Amino acid sequence: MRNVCVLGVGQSVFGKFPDRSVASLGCEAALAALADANIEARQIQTAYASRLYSDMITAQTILKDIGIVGIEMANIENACAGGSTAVRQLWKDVAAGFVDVGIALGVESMTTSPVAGKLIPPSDDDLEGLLGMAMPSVFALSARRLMETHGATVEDFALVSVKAHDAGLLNPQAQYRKKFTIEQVVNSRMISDPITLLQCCPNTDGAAAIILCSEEFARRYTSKLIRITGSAVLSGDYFDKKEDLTSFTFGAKAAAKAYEMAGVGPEDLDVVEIHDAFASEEIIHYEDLGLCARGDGISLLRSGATSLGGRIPVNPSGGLLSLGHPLSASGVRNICEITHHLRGTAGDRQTPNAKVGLAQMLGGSAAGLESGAAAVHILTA
Amino acid sequence: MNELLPEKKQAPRPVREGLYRGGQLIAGRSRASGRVFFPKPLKDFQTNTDTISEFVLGSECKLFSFTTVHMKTLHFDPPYSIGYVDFPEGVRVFGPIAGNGHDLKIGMKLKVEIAPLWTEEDGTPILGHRFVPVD
Repeated sequence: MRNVCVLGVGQSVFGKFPDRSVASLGCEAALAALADANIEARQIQTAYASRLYSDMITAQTILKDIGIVGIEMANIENACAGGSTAVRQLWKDVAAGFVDVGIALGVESMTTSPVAGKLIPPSDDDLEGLLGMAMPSVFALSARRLMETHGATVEDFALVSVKAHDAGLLNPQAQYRKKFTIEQVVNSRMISDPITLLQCCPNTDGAAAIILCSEEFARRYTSKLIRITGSAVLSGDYFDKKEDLTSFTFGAKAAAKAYEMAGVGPEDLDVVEIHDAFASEEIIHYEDLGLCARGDGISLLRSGATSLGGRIPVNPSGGLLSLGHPLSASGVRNICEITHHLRGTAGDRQTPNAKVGLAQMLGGSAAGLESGAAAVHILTA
Repeated sequence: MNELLPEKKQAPRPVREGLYRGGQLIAGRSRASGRVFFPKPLKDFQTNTDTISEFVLGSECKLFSFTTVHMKTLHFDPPYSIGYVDFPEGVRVFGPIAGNGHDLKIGMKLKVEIAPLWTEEDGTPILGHRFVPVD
């Protein structure tokens, strides 16, 4: 396999833009990534796009507007891990030598989707969905178990959201640049107890794009190489194998695969971006990624180690809670964020001297599975 | 003239075939591993054996986790409660919980019942399982 480098990253504005087309959001991100890579659209050899609330041929409908046609393109859906999965497919193409350079895009228009302003359900014929399950409830049921087994409090969950918004304040591309107190988060409208509104990511429209290439190709454009040294996507195992709801077993397995591939361990990480669609899950991901010992997620959070300026900042972008969560864009966007930290271009939220970073996403819910997809990418400067 | 005709009463149907018998949940037990599954699977994919025996779960179970949902979903108006329960036969099952959700506690006893959970647009009541707290 060949080394794979990140050559360009780009993000559209994130927010509520019901009047903007998916193509215009996608083009904004793709053009930003091309400009960042300093290459021409015609140099792109393959493209993957991801979108959950979909229509046909998303990649083609976006990229035709910027002069990218007539190459191999494919469209991917993997719930919130869709963007990461698009990156993973492109990574495989470049690593295997099928192409030298390509683009992966994630895009979502949540405000024009069928779930705008609603709780996101599993697929239409999912048994648990029919019986009342929705995404916030998946995480509410696990949050309740964290309270039972870990001594977590609602204030701990609120602290995750406060921390995310503190970071988002420093990110000019965040949807909500606003500071909140623990009391404001706890006292916001109840959604699925113990999860309140400010423990949930917002509805977000937006797109993100990344350009990956071979190391040989990258050396023609930059001396600062950012490599993706670990890449793993796994589907969920059977739900009945889970002892409790306080770990995503397949998330931990995806992380283990990516660590092994990259030849690093959690102790080597300088910065981490994770799926925090609902605040309480962040504590679970700390443990699944090995940022702390099993059972120590709460104390890691409370210690401030995962805040900006801490030992291992988690979601310095503001995360899905503050930056926003256009579902299929987020898995691309959080790899872009890690790239910025490794390059030293993350502005006021920069992690000092970051050399190794990890981007993780989790996606989907279905009766009988612990979840849908887990994706972990490790980047090295 | 149709509006003058008496409303046709639709027969209730289960949310999915093969889940319920006589007010109880149809489960499967793997003869190879002893593991219990609901719904009953085609085979035991973990041991790759197809010796799944069918049986019905008892009605008693214990609450493993719960939440009260405060926004509408497809078939339920808020507030409504849902949760996972553990059956003594060794299987964890998801479903709605009857009542207002005020007194729910992990570990409390519940019983399962099959009841109409919602009505389709054509008037068909849909039967599904739900858990009822036991005083």
